[in-house]
Amino acid sequence: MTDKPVASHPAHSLPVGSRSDHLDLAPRSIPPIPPGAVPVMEAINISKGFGATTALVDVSLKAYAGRILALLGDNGAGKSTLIKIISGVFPPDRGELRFRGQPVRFASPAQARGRGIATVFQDLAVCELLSVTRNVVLGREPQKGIGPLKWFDLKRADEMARSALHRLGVRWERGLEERGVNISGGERQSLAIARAMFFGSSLLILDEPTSALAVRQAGRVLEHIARARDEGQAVILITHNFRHALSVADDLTILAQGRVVGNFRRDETDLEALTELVASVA
Amino acid sequence: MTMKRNFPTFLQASGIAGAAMLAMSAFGGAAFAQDKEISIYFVGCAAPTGFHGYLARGAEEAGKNLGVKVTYIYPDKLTIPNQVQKIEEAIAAKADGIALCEFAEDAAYADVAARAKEAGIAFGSAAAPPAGSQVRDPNDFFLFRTGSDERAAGKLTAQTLIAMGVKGRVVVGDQQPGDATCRDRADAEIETLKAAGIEADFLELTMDPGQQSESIFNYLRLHPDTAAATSVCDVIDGFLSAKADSGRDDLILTGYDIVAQALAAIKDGRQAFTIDQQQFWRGYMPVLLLTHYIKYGLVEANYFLTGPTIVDKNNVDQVAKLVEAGYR
Amino acid sequence: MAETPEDATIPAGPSRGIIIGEALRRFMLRPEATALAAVVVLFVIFTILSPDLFPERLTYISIMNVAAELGIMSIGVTLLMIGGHFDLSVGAVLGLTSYVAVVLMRDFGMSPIVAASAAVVAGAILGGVNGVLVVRFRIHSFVVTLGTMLIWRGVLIALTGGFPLTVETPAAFKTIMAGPVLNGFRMSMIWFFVIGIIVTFLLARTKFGNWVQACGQNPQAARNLGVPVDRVTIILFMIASALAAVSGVIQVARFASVDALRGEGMELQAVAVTVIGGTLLSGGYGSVIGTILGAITFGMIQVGLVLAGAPGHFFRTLTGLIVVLAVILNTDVARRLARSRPLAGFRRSSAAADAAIVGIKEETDPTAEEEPTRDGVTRLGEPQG
Repeated sequence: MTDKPVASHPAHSLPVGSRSDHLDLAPRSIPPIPPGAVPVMEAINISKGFGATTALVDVSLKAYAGRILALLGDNGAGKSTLIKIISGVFPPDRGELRFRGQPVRFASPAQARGRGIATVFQDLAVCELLSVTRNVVLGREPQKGIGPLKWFDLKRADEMARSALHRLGVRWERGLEERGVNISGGERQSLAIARAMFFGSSLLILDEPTSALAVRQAGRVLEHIARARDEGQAVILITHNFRHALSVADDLTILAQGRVVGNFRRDETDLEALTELVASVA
Repeated sequence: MTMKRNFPTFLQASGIAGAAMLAMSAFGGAAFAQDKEISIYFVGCAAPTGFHGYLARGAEEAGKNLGVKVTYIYPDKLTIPNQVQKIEEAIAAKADGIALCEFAEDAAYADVAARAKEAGIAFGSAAAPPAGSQVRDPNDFFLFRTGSDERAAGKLTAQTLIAMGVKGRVVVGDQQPGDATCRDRADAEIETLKAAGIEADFLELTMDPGQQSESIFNYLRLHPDTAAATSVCDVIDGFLSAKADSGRDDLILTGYDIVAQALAAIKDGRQAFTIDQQQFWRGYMPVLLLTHYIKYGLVEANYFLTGPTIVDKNNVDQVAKLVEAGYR
Repeated sequence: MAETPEDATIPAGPSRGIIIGEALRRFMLRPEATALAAVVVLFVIFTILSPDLFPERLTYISIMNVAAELGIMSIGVTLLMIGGHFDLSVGAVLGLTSYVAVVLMRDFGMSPIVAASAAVVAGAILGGVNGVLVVRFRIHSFVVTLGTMLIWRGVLIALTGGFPLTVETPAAFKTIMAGPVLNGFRMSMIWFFVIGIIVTFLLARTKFGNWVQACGQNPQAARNLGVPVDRVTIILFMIASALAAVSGVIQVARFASVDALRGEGMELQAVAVTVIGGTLLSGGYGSVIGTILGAITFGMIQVGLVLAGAPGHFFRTLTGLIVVLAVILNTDVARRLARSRPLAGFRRSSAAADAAIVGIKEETDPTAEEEPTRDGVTRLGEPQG
């Protein structure tokens, strides 16, 4: 299956009000997953232990193109272990991963990256002293020239950065030569997401992108994540913040103590129900 | 029949006796050799490079000539505690005699000298005595002192320049201002010149020949009346370059120690002379003095001054030959 | 663009004075700025101290001689520092590779070109060793290169037996590497500038240069993005030592000799020059042009002190003082400027400031050049017009 979004969202149906201070939590209808759709990434009965500790037991999830899957759970629930397995850091003890329906086993994060699985970590996103453009194209710099005499095509890089940010709906109020240190945390997250998409990712794994951000910035980043989804990305959004999850996600999976304790479509649940569920399994 | 029965026993007995004799002679021989070989430790100031290479070689040659074992050890970084530690290592290695490249005040070594004395180890200094003292002080805890007098070297440089009829300034360049040896040379030269009414300047330089060249070049621009320049602590390359760049063919250059560049420059006249410490003796004599003390109980009456001496156009050819051989 | 009430009266752009002020502020934020300031300030001071001798061609030649020999090595150190690593062994590399060049010419009869090339290759190999040790064993470069410094120096001392070696070189060699060519200025200066330009281009206009900066700032993030951090690190160490070898070759050409202590102490001079030039000790940010200016600063100090007749016992002290002052000036001013706000009229849009500055430079009407804005805010990606 291709990157075509499984369910198309009207272009401007952003789940939050533009630049609003509060997140819109009113349920709206989420289209169901059509039968026969192949998930971009599927984890089947994944189990993982470290010595005496069991991190994950029989965990399954599915991430589809054009949908945001929120992965919820408290610290220690196993979210980061699961993500590390999906992004290729280490293999599971039992169970398997399927990428676009094909079983895969990643030997390294580089291999996962090569397949288009991009992981954006909370605090590793940006080189502070490089400009926005250089940050966005880092690792895949466009070049100009022939043979061994190639140089960095800054003009094209600027265009690429501009378009990558534009795809995400990032409203940039300053120049692209602005250095990483001068842009806010939220802008950095968005930059990292734009960069991942620029790299041609098909699955975006976002690790706590809004946890360190003020409400307004968090709102903007969530807007951009939604936009990424609209552009056809499959998104796994890890967060421990239910409100943020409910404001953008299409599907939610809740982990507790290494097991899946709930799997819902966004319109099948709400904040109260989630809180109760997590409390009951704590 | 008794012969037949006794023969194997006889064989056994002589076998055992023979083996015993062999063993005894070998053992005795080894012990004999161990008694014989004197072990001298030369505690140097630095790795056996340049200047100190001669000390090491002089000591080695003395060891060969006299049939004693010479070991050259040195601290990686020259500080008093580091060098004292090396002396202690020599004591622990049960040296018969220790020669020390002394670089600090006597007092710094008094303690370890006492310990060497206790251990029955002969202890002498491969450095010059304090200026002015020629006769050995019987209470000196150094059995002997053999070195070149650095102040005498500076003075000799100045005197030679005066004798050459130098009028005008002299600049003395020190590439290692922290080194006491070079400071003594520089200070003595400047004092002697000033006493004779000649202007003399001290110039700190770096160890980089390019930077030395520029510094001297600019000094010459500032003081066109400079008649001579002395390099006290590094090769003369930088000075030669400055002389060439400034077109001052009349500039008199002097330096220290004998190295290839100096010999070439003296031969073709770019350099006037160099001061030789005759440091080969600073390595050779201590080993000799220690050995003769250990074997025959001989002690010097006068401190042995190995230098300074001048190498100039007159004797450069002869000296060059000896440099090839590694003695000068 | 949506129509707004303000469209009726387009606000006049900021005044010319403010635009120039903003351009100046921007320039002063660059790492090169304070190095340039150091050069200017020292020039003024030394000219006052020796008006007859300092502002003369011979002085400039002398300064460039010092700057070039130290500077070529320093450029390598700078690039490596931007990539986040130190190299204390470059002085020893200079000495050891000089030895290689001399021995190849003297004992093996090789031509200067071959010997010089071999020396530079040897330098690259020594640098490679540093790089592999740092990358493979994950030891801090400071520690690794401290160790290799002692090793290379020890090897040089052992190989030379402590004695300087001289060699006969053809005059052409001396001329090409270090001879006076341009009205008295030496070829070493040309080499210095050429290498400086190449490395600046490498840093600012190539993919590799972007990687170097990323490695120095955030190696983990770079790694995650597929930047071959280890490979970049090793290459940087190789460049640093290769450039040290180039400095060594120039000295061999000039002095036709090598001794056991050649290059001793220059590694620290190189760091000083790099820091004066605005490169951060913490890595990730710096300027090769700044290092060039820093080397010129260093040369000025050495030459100026002699010409000013400063007391010969205090050169080291004075040099150190001036270097420290230059670095304080650099860091302090840079910090203060970084915190400074853009001048009025440019608070919200650096793009507008850019346009305005360019507009001034092109002597065109700034308001016509600027993109139509609202409150000076430019929207990214939105259709203009």
